Amino acid sequence: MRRRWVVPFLRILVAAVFLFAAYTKLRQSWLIFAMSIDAYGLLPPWAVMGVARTLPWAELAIGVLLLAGWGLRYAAAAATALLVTFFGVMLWAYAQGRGIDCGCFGIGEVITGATLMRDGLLLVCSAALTLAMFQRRRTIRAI
Amino acid sequence: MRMTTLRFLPVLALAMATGFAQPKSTVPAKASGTPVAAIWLEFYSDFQCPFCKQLYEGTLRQVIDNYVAQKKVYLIHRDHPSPAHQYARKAAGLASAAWHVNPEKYERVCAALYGQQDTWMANGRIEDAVASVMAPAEMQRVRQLATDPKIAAEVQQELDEGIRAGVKVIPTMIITHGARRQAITGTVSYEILHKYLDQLLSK
Repeated sequence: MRRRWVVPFLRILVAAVFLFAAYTKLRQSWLIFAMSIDAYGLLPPWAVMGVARTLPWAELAIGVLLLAGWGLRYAAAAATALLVTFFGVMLWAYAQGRGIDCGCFGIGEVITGATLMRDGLLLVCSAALTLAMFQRRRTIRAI
Repeated sequence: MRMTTLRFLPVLALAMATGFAQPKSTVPAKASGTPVAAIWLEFYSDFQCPFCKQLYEGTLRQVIDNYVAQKKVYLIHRDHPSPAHQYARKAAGLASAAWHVNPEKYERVCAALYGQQDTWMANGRIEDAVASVMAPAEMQRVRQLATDPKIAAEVQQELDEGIRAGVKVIPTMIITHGARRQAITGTVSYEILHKYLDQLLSK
């Protein structure tokens, strides 16, 4: 009984976070988000601009799909893939001592142990959701 | 009543044009350009910080040439020495003293301090970097002034004001355009920053 609520809860949680992340980026100039990405020093300017223009829309699409329940396996897998990337680059920047914004929810949030912990937890939730989605399909097929 | 309001309109317009929403500091601004520029860019930095050096040399030098010189941006240097950096306060003190002695040379002093960062971080001789820009007579005054507690107090006050303004890490740029203030942290490339400045200027 308790387990029945886990998947919808994870779905709504991850969807809400992605929708909020997209909202905070789309409500401001895309160049502000571009500067957040650029501060990581990982991509050339042309790639930074490409990512800054497309990533918020990808986050919005993932959030909508998760919330609506369409293509759940793909949406959950895409969310996990994005969160693995975000967590990896944040960890790298933190280890390098780069005092920069994480760029997660707009601007003004410096990468700290707390932001890493939060993103790590979200990654665990998203990975669990992805796993549950693929397991559910296998179970249905077995029946 | 109506006439009184109208009488104050030019004053209000002038205040807005000269940065009504600009942050006020009691420390004299070590700045380049004109305060009537549409954009104010406050650069919170530490001369010993490698990312500040990267931002200054890779990005802000071009902003100075293409925006500050064109009176589009007013660049203000704000000292934000990190306690983790051994020479940061001394470097900030020498740079501030150099500003008091000859404000015209301040930008060149910053360039020298960042340009020779590796050298003075290794040997501790920060004065040599400042002396490479200042005339011998000026340098003598810089040395005297750098030991004045007033300079140390100014650096501390600027640091405190930065913390109060929400500066958590260095480098941080606070870009003010009209009533809008935007903090940007870390090293940002000129290719992107100039697009953002152009976007603000086009509004």
